[in-house]
Amino acid sequence: MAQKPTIADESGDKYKYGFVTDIDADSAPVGLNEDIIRLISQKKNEPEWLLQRRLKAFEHWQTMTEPKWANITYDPIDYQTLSYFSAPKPKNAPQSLNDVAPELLETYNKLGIPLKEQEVLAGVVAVDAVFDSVSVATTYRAELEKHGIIFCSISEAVQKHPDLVQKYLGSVVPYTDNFFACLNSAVFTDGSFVYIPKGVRCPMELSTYFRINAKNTGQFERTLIVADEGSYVSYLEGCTAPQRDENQLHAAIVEIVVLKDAEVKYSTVQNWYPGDSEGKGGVYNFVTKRAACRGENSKVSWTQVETGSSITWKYPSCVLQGDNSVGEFYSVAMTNNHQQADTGTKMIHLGKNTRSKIISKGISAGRSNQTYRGLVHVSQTAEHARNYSQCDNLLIGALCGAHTVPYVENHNATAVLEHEATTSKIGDEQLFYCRQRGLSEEDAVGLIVNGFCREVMQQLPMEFAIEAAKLINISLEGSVG
Amino acid sequence: MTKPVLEIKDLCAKAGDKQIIKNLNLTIMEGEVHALMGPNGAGKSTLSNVLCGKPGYEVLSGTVRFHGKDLLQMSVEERAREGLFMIMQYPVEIAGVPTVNFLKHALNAVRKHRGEPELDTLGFLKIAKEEAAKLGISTEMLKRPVNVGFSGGEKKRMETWQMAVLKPTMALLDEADSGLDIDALKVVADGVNTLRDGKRAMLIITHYQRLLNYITPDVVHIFADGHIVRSGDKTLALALEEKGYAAFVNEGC
Amino acid sequence: MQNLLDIGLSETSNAVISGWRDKGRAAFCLPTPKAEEWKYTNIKPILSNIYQAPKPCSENHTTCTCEHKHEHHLPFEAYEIYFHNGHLCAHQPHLPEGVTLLSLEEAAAEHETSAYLNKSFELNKMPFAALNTAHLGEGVFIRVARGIRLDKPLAFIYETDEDFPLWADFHNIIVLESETTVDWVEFFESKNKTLTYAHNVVNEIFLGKSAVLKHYKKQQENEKAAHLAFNAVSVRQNAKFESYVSELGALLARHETMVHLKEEGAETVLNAAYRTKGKTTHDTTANVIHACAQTTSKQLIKGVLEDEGHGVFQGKIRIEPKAFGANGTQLHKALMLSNQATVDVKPALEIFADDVKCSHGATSGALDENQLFYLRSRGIGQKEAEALLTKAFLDEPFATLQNEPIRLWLCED
Repeated sequence: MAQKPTIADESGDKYKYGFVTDIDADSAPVGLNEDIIRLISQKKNEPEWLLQRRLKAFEHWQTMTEPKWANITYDPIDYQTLSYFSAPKPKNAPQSLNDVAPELLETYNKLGIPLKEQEVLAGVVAVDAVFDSVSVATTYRAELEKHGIIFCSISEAVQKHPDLVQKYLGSVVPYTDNFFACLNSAVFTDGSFVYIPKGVRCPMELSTYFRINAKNTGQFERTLIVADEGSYVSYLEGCTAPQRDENQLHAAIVEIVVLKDAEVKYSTVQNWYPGDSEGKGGVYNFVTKRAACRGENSKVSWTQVETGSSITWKYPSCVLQGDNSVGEFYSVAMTNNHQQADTGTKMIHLGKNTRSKIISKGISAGRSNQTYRGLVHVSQTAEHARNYSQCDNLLIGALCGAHTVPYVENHNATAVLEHEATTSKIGDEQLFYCRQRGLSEEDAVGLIVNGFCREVMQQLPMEFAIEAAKLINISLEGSVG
Repeated sequence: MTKPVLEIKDLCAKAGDKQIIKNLNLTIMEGEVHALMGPNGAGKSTLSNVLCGKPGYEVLSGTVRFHGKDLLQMSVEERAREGLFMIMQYPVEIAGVPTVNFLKHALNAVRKHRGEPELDTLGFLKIAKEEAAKLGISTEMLKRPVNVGFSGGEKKRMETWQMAVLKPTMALLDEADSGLDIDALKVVADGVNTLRDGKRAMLIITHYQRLLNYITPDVVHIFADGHIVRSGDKTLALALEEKGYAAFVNEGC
Repeated sequence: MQNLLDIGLSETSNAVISGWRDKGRAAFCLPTPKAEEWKYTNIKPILSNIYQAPKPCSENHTTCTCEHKHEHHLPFEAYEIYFHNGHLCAHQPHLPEGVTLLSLEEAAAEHETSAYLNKSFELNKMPFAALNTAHLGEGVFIRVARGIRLDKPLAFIYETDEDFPLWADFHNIIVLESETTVDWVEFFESKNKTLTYAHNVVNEIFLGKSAVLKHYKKQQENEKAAHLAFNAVSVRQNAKFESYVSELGALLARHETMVHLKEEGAETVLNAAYRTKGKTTHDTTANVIHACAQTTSKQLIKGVLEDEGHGVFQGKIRIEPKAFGANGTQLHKALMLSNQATVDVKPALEIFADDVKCSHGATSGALDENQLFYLRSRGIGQKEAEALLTKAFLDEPFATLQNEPIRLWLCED
């Protein structure tokens, strides 16, 4: 397999996903204007309504300014120097796995994401692989179709299921929502689409694997998950990017619609390239994720393990509209070196007896800074709403920062809300104890950190949890001593 | 021929700003069980902390050799891997870390150091459960986070279990009897006695003679003002029980 | 809408004060909900009036010489200092030797204020302190000499009975030298329930080494009043600032405290209880900066929300990089007694040092059903049971007070 030697190979950094795939790509010219948007829409053979939405979003975006409230600093992004579309050639989307370019299959194999079905343990995970701007392969479609489950790229869904897409796309995150969501609404290229019909329990985990490969390309994927009444799905998302000296921009939107009695579990292990130990390079990760629990007794659970990106800006949220609906947010954010993360959640209680739970664990090491920013809002209509929030921070070393900014807004007397937060360092006594039993200091720290995150890790599917624990240990490297 | 396990020569050490250990000399041979008895404030705990290398304690002079190697040059974990194990007076709680995971890591670190192959989870659990059964520790207790929510007796029982799994060459019992009822005391004593194999050395640091009813020492030392003031056989402990520390301490000074 | 800078203030001949007035004017900018610090507290309701400056009450208006009779306001002995209708009153207590009391104008004239005035915060970040500075002129300067333990509390009593919408600003400076111990009481009250007025008070407090200042404040303004208070406190080595605040009145009240724990061993306790009725807003904002090692802060704030009341708590604990061993805790508890009430809480931690212990908590809920049932099963009526539990809830921030008359005074409605 042709692999160009890259800076990554020589830098000695430990980001094992830092390789670049040498593949011919069909890219849009650099820059952002109406023509580019028309070009994207045309390349994807989109219907007129979608083009009009994109143009409307672009028009609005030009009136907006980048948000400045988050506790992050970065050089200004020049949106005119990015390319907004990059697709591996051949241009025609592969019709089956056999059509997928061997370079791509090899790339995903290296990432540990097998796209050949026979290589996967029979029927455990179905994968949609998104490479730069387009989806390159979706596995197990036949099996899923038997249950009436739609799992395909969003581009394909636009062609084959326009009614569903038109009905739900943008219904949870309108294009006016925020600067990055608006940009995404104008230029999004691909992503995954999931529809689980009424009463269906999805028989396997669904997974999307995102990969930014091309240089100077922004990735703007769009994911839409619709869980119809009484259905269930567990969805996994993984991300990596090559190691490059320039920063890469990633501005995604994930929308989830959960109808009556349905449940969606959404797990993310985010491992975009974090930049090197001096803070050079890395992915800017500005993501809008939101779930609407529209029906009674609906439930959504976000679990995220954030170890990558040089900048993380994301607040997976739950709008609890249906009575008795439940929102959960479990998060581990690990930052080291010069990484910055401003992350948290929003729980908007509108329906009666709605419940939410927030468990956030932050680990800061090196010169990194991270902020938990969360909102719990209980409206006047949310009788007997209940929220429990716990935000714990662990500091490793004296040069990092850990910040907690929760907003709690209660407009209902029958609501019961509890918020707790702590910040501490790893106790000398704990370290001594572990070392006395023969563990090295680094192992002891790893062990204690994994214990600190355990409540969140338990929420992840088994294979993901092991991977996530390893990632945290890798991120911790060099933080001790 | 038996070899010395621990040789302490003219040891002086301080805790914080205060000198606590003053010219201590003590040699423990293979298979020997020594008891170090002393009044409160004599520096008994300082000695065990110095031997284990706890930060905050400083050795001013003297030497300590462990199996002939310079103990004081070793890091905390190296001492443990070399075979030094301390049953602590107040084991610390570590939330979120299941005891089994914790000890598997510890055992494999020790095994690696000894040049033995590392154990997988199944192999480890077999050993862990066998030892736990001997001490009346349930599998459920092993899953709980380290020392979190255990009673004083349970904590000491878990310490004894850890010792049984790690199989150190020398055990250091730091006031292992404090706060224990008679049943818990017997569990600790049984655990220690099972590990007496003619090779393994032990140092029992205690204020009371109580524990020595269950573990018979080969040598008893009376420790006061930072050093040993008198040594004898097990009858010394009984005499001490009868006459109190004052009689021996004054005589020694 | 009126520009609050232009309330018809009299000229001052004091150059220090007029200099500060210019700086205040330049720094002032009316806060809107877009500013993070004013996100939850909308000041619009108090801006519907046209406010006027205090009337000059003598030729030489350094102090008020009016014949106003001051009744005994407090249920305990104190050195009482009166602030009436926007002026510091001439009748002043006889203070023990070593305690200096000057009007702000006198202190400025004698250059006593140069080391202290507007030295403990940034004017352009504090809009109402900037306004207060633009209106500078009234207030006191107090210095307590080294080693003095004051036998009775110093009490500042604020009263207003003007028949026009008065805007009254006071700027006080309290300097405690090393090893002093002082109790300091603030009492705001208005006997006439129909008056509209605003109190805008800035206190700058400087505690020397091992000084202890205990602050007790009771705010019972009338229900049309605006109450804006800002205490900026600098705490040096092993000194301690304790504050116990009961906020009961005003249409809009903001009690803001900034404590700068500057040296090792500095400590603060910021406890408060507030109760909103009608359409009132009570805002408690606390900003504690741990700038040095081994500094400690503790906060307990409890609020009862009734009617269409609105409670706001904003707390920030900042631990600076060198503050090893710092310990900060913060807890806000809200009791919601009405479905029209709202509470907005924002407790923030900003931590830049690893060897620290910090925590915050916030809870919100209604009265405990089981407790209510228990009380009622012993024959107590619903309303009374609610009142008992509510009072027990509100008394907690003052529970540790040793001074019983003061504790009772704070707990009383």
